[in-house]
Amino acid sequence: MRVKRCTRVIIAAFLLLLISSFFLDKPGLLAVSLSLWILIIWRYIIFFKRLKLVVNSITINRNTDKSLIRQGMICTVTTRISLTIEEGIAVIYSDLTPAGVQIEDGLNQTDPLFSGVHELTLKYSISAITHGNITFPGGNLTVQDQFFETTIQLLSSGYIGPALLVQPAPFFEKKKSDLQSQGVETNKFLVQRGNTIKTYRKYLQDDDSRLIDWKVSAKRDELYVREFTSLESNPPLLIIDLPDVDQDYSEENFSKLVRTISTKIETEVREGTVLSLLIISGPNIITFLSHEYYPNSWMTIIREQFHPRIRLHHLYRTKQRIELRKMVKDVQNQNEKGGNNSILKHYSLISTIYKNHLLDNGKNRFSSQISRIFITVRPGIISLYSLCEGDISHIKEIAHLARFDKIRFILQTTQMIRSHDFYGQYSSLRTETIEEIP
Amino acid sequence: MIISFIEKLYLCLFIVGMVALTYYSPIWYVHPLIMGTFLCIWFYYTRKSEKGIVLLLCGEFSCVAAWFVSPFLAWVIQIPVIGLFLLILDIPHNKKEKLYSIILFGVLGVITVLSDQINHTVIPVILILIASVLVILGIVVTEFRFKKQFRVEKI
Repeated sequence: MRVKRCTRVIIAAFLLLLISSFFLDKPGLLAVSLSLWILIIWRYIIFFKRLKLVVNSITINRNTDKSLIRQGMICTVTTRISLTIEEGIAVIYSDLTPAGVQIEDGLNQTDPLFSGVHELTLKYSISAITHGNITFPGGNLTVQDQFFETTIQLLSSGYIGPALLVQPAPFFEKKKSDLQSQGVETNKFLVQRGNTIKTYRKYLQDDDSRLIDWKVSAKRDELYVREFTSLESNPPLLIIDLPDVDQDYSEENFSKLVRTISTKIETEVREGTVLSLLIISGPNIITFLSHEYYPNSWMTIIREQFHPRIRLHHLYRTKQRIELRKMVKDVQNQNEKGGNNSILKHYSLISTIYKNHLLDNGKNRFSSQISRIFITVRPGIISLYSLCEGDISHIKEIAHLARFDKIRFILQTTQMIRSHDFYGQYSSLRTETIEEIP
Repeated sequence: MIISFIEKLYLCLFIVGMVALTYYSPIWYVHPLIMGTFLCIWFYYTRKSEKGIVLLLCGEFSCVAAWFVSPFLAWVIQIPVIGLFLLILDIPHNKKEKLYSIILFGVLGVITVLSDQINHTVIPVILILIASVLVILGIVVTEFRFKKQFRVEKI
């Protein structure tokens, strides 16, 4: 229990009058000090009575939209609260978030509630940072009046739950057999068609009569129809690299970045262009929107997703395969030069470790996911929007994959690219096309 | 400034009590001075967050002064002082609160009668201090036991 400022002043006055009455021996002072004491106790009894009524009336029903999620993914929590509050007190209820969970959107706390019967719903989304079995631990109920304030932790079985199982998001991917990577057959029918005639075939019932090739039909004395090649669009792919929530970043630059992306999307959507959007935060894929042209979907994504995110994985911890090969080569060169026996032994050990890594084919999950996205979307151009603050190994990886798939890659950044600092810091991006966001 | 009926009633009771004190008191000039201060605070003090507590302290000071003339009048003055204090704190004036206030004023009356019976304050002060410690302990234990019901049950 916490006593408020008003109560503290009354207690001070009570003690002052009591001590005065002790030394001055005046019953009048004692009577007045005792009346203040009674006032506080009387208010506490009323407060405690109301507190009991509120706490006993509360019912909590908490639900999650999923019972199983992957680490780093978002889950929506809905808590329905019902409580009765007596006149003269204010109540605030807040849901306790389990350890290893971060609130992404919404509020897990009510506004101050006053007298009456309340039926409330709290809706917020959480993202699981750690994996394992997570149980919602309950809630906190803060009750206050003009004199006292107390917080009751509702942690018993009636208030806890439900449990949420969080599966780990692995950094590396398991090596798949070649059979699995052959691709799958689809019955995809593309409405758009090209101008080139692929083949002729006999006319079948329900075929479009406009497709009949009269010259061939006359020559063969049978109806033939033209079959055209399919036309596939290659929509541009926008990649947005959100900053790490735990790291310092320039808020001004971030708002500039968001503004630029929003304007770009708005312009493209207004012109009727189909876009694909990939939102990442370092080497963590957050959302992927493929071939989207509905303005409402874009607006929802911009509103809900464009904010700094927690990065589960960091790519700078692992070296790229190309770098590993280079290092093996360097070590071999050192070995050939010869030298001290112990040094040569050390080099051979390092070489073995690197070779094992290369043979292991430990491709990281991020690279695999990006490759798959490139295959699915087949983008004509990739524009990556990033603050370029801190670690940029994931940008290097995307640029490398884009070059491998022969896709044009443009990096848009808020950094001053003409400055020497930029190229000094990000020398690895020297070969890429970089544009500065004005 | 809009004054409700109950506020008018309390203010009138306070003024009547103070006027009666002025009439009976040998040092008559003290009471109008305190009454003037109290009314000035009531009408002109603009900081609402502090107004209640300043009024209560000023009112209790007038009660101490009144007790030396007549304990009964001190009790009469204490009713509007505490009543106005509760009104300023926006404590709802519903039936339950009215009942609680009547019980409080009754208890204050009993205290006034008892204090009029004693000649020396040394033993009562010690008894009050012991009772205060016991009450605080009681409050802490009751609240702890109450909160414990809603914690995790041990298997």
